[in-house]
Amino acid sequence: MAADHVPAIRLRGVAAGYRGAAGDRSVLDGVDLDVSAGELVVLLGPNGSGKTTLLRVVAGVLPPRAGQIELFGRALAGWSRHDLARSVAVLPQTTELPDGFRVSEVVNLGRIPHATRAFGADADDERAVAAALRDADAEELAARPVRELSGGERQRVLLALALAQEPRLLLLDEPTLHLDLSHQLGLVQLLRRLRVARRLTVIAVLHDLNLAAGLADRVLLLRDGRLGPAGRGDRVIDPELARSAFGVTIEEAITPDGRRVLAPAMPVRTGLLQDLPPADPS
Amino acid sequence: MSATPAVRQLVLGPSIGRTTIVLTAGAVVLLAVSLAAAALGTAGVGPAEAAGILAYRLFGIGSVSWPSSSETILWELRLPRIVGGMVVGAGLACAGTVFQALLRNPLADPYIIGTAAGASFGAVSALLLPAILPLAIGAWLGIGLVQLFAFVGALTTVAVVFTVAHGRSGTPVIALLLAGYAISSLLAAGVALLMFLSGDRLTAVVAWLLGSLAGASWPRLAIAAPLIIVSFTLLLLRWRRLNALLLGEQAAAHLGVDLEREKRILAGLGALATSAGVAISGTIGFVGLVVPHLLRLAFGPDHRLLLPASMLYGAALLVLADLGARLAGGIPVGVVTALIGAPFFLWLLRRSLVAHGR
Repeated sequence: MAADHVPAIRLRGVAAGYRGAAGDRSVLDGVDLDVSAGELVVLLGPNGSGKTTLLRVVAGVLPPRAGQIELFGRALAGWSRHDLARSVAVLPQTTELPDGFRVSEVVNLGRIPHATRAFGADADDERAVAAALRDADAEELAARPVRELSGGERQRVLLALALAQEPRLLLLDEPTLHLDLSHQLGLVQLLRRLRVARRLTVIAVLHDLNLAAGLADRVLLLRDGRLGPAGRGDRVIDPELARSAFGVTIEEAITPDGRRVLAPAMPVRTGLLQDLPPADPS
Repeated sequence: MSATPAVRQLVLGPSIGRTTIVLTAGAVVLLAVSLAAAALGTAGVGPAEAAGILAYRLFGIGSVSWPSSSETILWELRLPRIVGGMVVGAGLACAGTVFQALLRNPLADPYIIGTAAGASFGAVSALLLPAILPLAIGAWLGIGLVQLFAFVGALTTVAVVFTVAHGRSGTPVIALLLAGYAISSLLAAGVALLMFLSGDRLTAVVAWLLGSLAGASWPRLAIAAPLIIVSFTLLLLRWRRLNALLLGEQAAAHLGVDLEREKRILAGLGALATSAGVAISGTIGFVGLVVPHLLRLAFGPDHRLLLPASMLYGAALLVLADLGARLAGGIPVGVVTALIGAPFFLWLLRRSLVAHGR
């Protein structure tokens, strides 16, 4: 079989969970997933539905309890940590940025899995860090101390760190968390551009339904430990399905330029605050 | 608008020039401090005489114009102390750097997971054993039973701490810290009990606990120095993994670091260097805490530079502190490092609080 036809990710009947003080907690139960190389999949799902757990299983840092996982045609168990770090990069929800480093030095940490010399960087590292900074739109930040970065800048630097790993698969866990609207849109545009330029396969966890529909080739919904389509077709999120998953009323509207948008119904209007005394005008 | 973008060199780590300057300066400081420590003392061997003896013994220059007692003072007393200071100081500072990165805790020092308490308990036990036994075994090994017990006590304690802190999901850093604290407290109680029971040997016990390089001798150094040098070399080769850990454990795992294995290797090597040092000198405080902080502030957090720098500057600091201790009439060097180290550390803390005001 030609390499192009091997799916980037293949999950069959994957179960995973955690053992804690309160006993066994099963989070994923029978997840099937196929992602082709170069595809951009967005995962939706309520808090605690297992989105992060699924990313951790795919990244190889949480061993599954059952099921089969293949990355690029090879069983996950056959990958060493080192091999994985050269093919899979993760942008976690939170990452500490060590004080005292400049941005370029932090991005260079992404070169650790590719290190060839006992001490110092080689020409490949320089090239890869420069390209990662450029592709993540973080070139102008290169010389800045990481301490001084804003939230949006931090996210781009962490993306550059992940790109410096030169991965084939990029896993993003709520990359738009803490970003304002314009930075959210900027990041989404950046990701769409990137995965073409770098031929990346991407799985991203998002919460914003419209952002998800705008970014993804395919939107999937995770709930009750299982993964399924989020609606009709690949990118059309079904408001009824979303309502039952998130437990809120979702309204659908068509914008004047013909785009379909989803919005949660505002409880303020439906009377939740009606009985409150009028706000103190002071 | 087709201006050629300015070719800017990306900073990927400490430059070769900077590394060379920092390490050369460290070596020069260490050499200067060591020469001063060789030349100065209360025993009446002055700088000129010390220089003459050194030149004669090391390079065969000059002729003997000094009493043999001077040569003994320099060669068998001062020099072993200097080399002991280098070895112990380098080991403590390097281990401190590693533990601060591994535990991501600014209060981490080489003693935090039980080395000091284990070494103290071992040494004090040995001190209080009947005198015949240490003499017999000591003569056979060429080292003191106290040193051997301190070394074994330290390593055993770290192994116990790791075993206690290990659970289903690996070895969480917080569990290591708590287990280290609890087991250290237990051993400290044991030491206190032994001291209470020690009778007329209390002075020897207290002297060991305060930390001193007076016990450094060539045979002991011949065992401790290789242990420290080997663990230092192996730690230095892991500088990238230490850097990855600065991003947090999760991110380090995504960069290919096998967390559990790495924790064991790093803590094991750090404990080995610490134990070998503590066996010679007793528990000398603050070197392993202050030196890494200071160097990180001055030279940045990259372990490629930080590790070798901590070794050189840690060595220089302890040799200097021991010189001060000797000149001040033989007070324990542990007192000197704490007397200098604690106020200095407070100043550092104030400075960083004022500078970043959060």
